[in-house]
Amino acid sequence: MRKFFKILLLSLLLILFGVSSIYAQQLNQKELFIPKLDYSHFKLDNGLEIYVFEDHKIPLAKFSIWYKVGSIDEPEGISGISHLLEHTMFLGTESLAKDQVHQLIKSVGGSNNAGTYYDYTTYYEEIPSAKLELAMAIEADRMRNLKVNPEEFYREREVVKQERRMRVENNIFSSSLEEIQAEAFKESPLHHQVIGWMEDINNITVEDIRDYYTRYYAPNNGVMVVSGDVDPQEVHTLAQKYYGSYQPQEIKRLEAIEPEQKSERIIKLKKMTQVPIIAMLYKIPKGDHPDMVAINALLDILVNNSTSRVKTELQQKKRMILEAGGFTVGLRKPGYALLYTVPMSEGIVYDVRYDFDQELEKLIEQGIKENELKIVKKRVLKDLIFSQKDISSAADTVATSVVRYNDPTLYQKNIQRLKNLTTKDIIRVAQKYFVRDNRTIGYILPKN
Amino acid sequence: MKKLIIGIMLLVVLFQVVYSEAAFAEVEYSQELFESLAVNKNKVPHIEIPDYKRIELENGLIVYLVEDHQLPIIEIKGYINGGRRQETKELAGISSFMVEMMNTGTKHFNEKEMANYKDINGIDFAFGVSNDYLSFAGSALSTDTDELISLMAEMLEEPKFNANHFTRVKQELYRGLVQAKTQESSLLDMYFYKNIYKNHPYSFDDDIDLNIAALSNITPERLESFYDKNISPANTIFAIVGDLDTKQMEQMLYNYFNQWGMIEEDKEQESTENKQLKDKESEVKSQEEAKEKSKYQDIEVEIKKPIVEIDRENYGKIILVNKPDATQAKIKMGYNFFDNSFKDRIDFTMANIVYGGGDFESRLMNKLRTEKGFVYGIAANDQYNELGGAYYISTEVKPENTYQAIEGIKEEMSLIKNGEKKIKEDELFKIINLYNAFFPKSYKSKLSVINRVIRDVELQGRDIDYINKVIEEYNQLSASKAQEVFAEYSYPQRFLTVIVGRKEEILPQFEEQEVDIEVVEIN
Repeated sequence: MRKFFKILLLSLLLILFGVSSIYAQQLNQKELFIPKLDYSHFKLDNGLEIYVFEDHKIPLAKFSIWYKVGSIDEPEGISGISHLLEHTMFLGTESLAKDQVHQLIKSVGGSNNAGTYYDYTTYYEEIPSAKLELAMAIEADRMRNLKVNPEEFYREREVVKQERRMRVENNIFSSSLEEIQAEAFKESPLHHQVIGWMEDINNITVEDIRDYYTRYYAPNNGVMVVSGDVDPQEVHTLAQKYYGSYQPQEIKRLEAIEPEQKSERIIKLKKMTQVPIIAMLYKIPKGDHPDMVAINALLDILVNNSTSRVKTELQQKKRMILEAGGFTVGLRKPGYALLYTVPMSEGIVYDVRYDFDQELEKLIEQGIKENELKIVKKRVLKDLIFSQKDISSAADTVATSVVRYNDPTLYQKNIQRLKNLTTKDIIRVAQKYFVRDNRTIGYILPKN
Repeated sequence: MKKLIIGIMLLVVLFQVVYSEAAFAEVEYSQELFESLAVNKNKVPHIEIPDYKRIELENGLIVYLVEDHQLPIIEIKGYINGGRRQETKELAGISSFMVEMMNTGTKHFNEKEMANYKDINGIDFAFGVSNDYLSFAGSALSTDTDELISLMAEMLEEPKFNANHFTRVKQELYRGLVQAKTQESSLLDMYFYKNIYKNHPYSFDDDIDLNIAALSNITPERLESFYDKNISPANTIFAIVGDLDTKQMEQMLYNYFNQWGMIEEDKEQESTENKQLKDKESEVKSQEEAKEKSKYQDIEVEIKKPIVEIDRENYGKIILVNKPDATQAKIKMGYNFFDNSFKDRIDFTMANIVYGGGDFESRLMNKLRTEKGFVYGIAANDQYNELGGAYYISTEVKPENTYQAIEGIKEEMSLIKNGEKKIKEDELFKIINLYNAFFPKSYKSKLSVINRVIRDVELQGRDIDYINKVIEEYNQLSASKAQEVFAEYSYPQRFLTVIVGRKEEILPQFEEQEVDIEVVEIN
């Protein structure tokens, strides 16, 4: 029974929502092929980008609109507004009543939802492919004609506040990460989580929502992705019909630059927990930076793989920790890598942190074995091939690359980068980013 | 001539203007437009069962093989009949401990070697535990098929329970259990299921205190004994799907699995013989024939059938687990429900989706989110096991809304049950229409279909085409029938309600209403 660790892992997966990891290619394998990821691309005159991924196995289609706006675009005082706007988008337009979007989609035998992340907001409808036009019309209508009824807005704000209690406040790891991230990022909007501070959510008004909507919801700030049993030409025709008349607008973004961190930051958090957790946040570059492939490989070798240095030495050999792992948050602005471990007891927390650091130092000083690199490449190759079981996940990978970096070919570049990756590259990024002056440590300790 | 050219040019210009206007004209959004676009009735789907080969080895092991050459991958899904219900109270949690050891080492691979073997070959393979069976799943690229199958055989047949890491695994499990007592979900499930299932093995996994107490009784010898009594080729079945050649795979399976359960001297003799597969007719034997084979040890597994006893003391009972740091109330309310053989299961499941299926349109979501803004999500679940199931509703609310939310949940159920707000045709139609659209998606891969087949046929004793019978049955459901089954099988007065949250904020609401509530303080 490892309930807690499953919950911890689940929390991490939720944090990773939207972060994809497709970047690999066949590497010295026996007669293995990687099917090519095929799609059609159009761009309307108003700047709306359209990507279509065909898969005719079953008569279903997934329609999605991605807006290049998320919590890193939020100014102080209204954190969480991107996500609150996402909820508000279901409260109706001049033509559609509150929640009618759900009713319409369900009436045709479809499902729909939306999601907000640090650097994008996405809305999707999964529908019988014959009903593509309905999804197209709904999203086109609410791109321009949102109606905000104050009474409904304030009720929905309560729903979001409850979501915050559920997702962040009553989860040890998420609530701790919120504080650690706030300590690490003093000036940039990564200071707050996607859902925002409770006080800010309470203060967001109908006017704030209207302004934010007007500012960011425009065709040239969106990307349409359609996958499934669809004809690209029909998608183009419908997109032209429903979005063609919309005018592009200037998107003015918040310019907040995080000053360079000069020294290690440490915070201690007392929580209702029996086991302590150490979380170490390192700042890293934008998600399309060439170093990202090496950074992810480093995390796998150091802490993620079953054969990783930390698991082998600290968990299996020394029996000091219960669990360890790491992940990157790659965004259109510089993000972070988070490494965490769960020491066996509070009494050895600082020894664990020391030994963890030692493993990183050994890796830098003594180098990486070719076998370790081979394992990383194998894992990524396998993930890449398995991801093609579902065309919509492949479509989402391309969509995030376009939304974030305006680069649908990022996954191909990363395959090449992985192919060329050497042990020296990994050591170089370890020396460059995984240094104490670039680190914020959170010690999550039992309250009593 | 000039006039003609000008005329043609004018026509062309005119056509372009009209065409351009048509292409860029502002769409007029209206109810009529959306309603016209939303007319749709999905076709009743039919799930194709992929071509497969069912193999039964002499030791009773059953394997389904399915070729799928779309991607260079191999996937495995399997079951071992028995599961958590084979546990005793003194050894509660032993199934989870056993699979943890099986997942991390064998007689020929220590922990480090196994991790390395998996990583180097890109293999994922692990066992899990459910109430009525153990399950396992694995995957690899097809270039690593042999490595995957041989590892699976090793993990199934040659576990090592007195391995060096036994003590560490035990220590980790203990720390995990202690930590679970600080988690609201674990606390909620503990107090819900240990009351619903009382002393039945179905309650063991969620009873943290029981697991902590039983952990000290678990030794390598007891793990070995539990393994010997519960894992055998005769109660194991799995499917292999992917980029494989059926004939070659049969040979591989014979090589790796036919000696499983065999008496040692027969193993040696068998090893000296040619292991090539014999004639197809002789190799595929019925289970009865296999049982008669003397060269196999006692491979029969006794599947226990302890009775789930329903405690009427639970009806209407409310338990508040005090969690002083909570900023919400986490709620689970429900009662004992039917086992897998429930005759109206499909009809009830569809009707229950109208009430609390979890989507935005359910009655519960409408009432508690859309109208009141109390919840982010709420769902009503019907959960079935071989020996008895549970029906429950789960949600989270701001502490001060706890009482109202619980009353709202009961009220909505009562409104359907007493016929004041009957299930309507259009509500049911939307759900059936949705199922008809999404069933093919759920069974898009051959692995998902064959997994369903082995569960239906081999574990539940149903027809191979049961999945299509399900589709047929829900398509025949009428609103009046859905109303009838929901009214018959919903029991608002029976709810056992467990709440995890801050006592100071929650308790007064119930005291004010003079409702009895049991408060539990966590050590």
